[in-house]
Amino acid sequence: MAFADYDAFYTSLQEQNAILAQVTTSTATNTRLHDLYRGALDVTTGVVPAIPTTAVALSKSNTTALNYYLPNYSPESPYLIGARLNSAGARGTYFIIDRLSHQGGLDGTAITAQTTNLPTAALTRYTDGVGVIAALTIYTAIGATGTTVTASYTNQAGTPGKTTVAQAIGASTVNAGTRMVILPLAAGDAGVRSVESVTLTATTGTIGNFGVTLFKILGVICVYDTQSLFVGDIITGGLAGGIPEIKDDAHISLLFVGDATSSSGAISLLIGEA
Amino acid sequence: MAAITDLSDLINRLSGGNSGTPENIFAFKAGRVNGVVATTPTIGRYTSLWQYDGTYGNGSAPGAVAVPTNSTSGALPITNPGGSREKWLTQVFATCLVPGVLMVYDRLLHISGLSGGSALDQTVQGSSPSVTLTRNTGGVGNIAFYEIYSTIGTTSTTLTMTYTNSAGTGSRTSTINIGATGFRESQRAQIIPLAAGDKGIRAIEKVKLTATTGTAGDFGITIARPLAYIPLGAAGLPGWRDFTTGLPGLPKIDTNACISMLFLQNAATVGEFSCGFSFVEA
Repeated sequence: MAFADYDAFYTSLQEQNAILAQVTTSTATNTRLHDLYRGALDVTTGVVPAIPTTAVALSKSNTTALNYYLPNYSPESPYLIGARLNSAGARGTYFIIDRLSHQGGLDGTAITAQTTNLPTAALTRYTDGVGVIAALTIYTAIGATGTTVTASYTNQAGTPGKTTVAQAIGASTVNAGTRMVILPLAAGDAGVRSVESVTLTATTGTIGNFGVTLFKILGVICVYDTQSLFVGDIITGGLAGGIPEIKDDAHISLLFVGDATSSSGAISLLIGEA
Repeated sequence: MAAITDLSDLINRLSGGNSGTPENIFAFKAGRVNGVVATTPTIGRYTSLWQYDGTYGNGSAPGAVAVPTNSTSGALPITNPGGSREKWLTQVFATCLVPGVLMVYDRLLHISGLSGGSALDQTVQGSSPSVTLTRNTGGVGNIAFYEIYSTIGTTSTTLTMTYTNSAGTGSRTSTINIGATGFRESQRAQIIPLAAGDKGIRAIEKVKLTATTGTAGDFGITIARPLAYIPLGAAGLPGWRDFTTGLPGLPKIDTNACISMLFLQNAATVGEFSCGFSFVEA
């Protein structure tokens, strides 16, 4: 399905059908990417979600999905059409993602290939892996010693045994809880179906807890002010990503890059049906 | 080919109607090249992100002159439009840990393996090119830049480019400095001006350095068509362009386009980039 015209789009905006997210106050690393899986409250309990352990494929049926209370729209489809947001503390970018698969329990000191709770659970959406991004989410601070990390993965063509390009981890900007480390892919690859193992070059000095997250970005909200209400839609601005369709069983979650060391906020993602 | 008739048509296509085939590609670029921290950039100068590691793999030094496409490693992995439709860029978003200006371009032709230690003619496409542009072949709006793949020397000299302009006039020449600090390091890119009155480039016959820079290194020449400029005003703040509401309208993306980026640095810090591109067909 699709919006027939501007009137249909406008009517959907007026319906104010929204996903609500409460982002808790968190300490961030200025200008770096953060995973707000545990920075946004569980919509059913109002508490911070637990750290993942075993590999899980996520969907709307998980209470950590910000769209948990959305109905199923089939045979029509939900689309992300707008946002309202009040950000305190930091300006920056909120990434709206479909969180596909994650796990935890990896160790910041182990220097052999780690397979605890791996491989990642098989994708149930975007199953070909095209455009699916692999990253490491730090759940509990690892050490302050800088090193590099690689992962063994299966690419979008189904080729296993591919290795990500070495990426920095540990040290002061890449070790705190909520930090997310993107895993660059080998030349020619454009997505990930699964991650089989993770290897640190050297210890970071502290075990901590981190895990692999697979996700697909649906859109971004650009925020240029704090303590102020941002209102935007995909047409008039501030919200990038076209008019993305949200799969009915998506697990909507957030990432954040900001210009200050702490952030919190309330976010409404406006959903249109077509 | 069909034009996007109005905002209603665009909304319809962006949400998948009328064979709009919307494509949104979000990507991250680490400040690393082949797993190693990238060379510290220079304020006020362009850094080429062609070789930066990222979520769609990085590019490499091309070697012999070639026409890269969307299937070349390092290119944004866009799909070509289906049927007889054309592809249009509707939005670009980016954020970086340092401020600057991101230029998004179609990489039309490139070569590496040129020497910073030679003062002889160095062939790019030659006087009777066998490798020629396959996109924006008329040349209007095309730019050229030199791109350092491996550090050249510390002595500043002058690069003279001999090219055919967009009117088809050959043996046109223009010059730019090359070598010395800020103009020698890996990933540095420097746009080469055109001769007075010229509006673009169809082909580049050769380049020649006035004197050696002192080290051969490895540099190359790239012909590009700029598609969009995104200002990133402050560290950690996003920049975005919505071509529905802002000039220059919706940029057309040629079939097989090899989309890459240059970054005009406003800090001497290696950047990490998040970016997103939205396309629609019509």
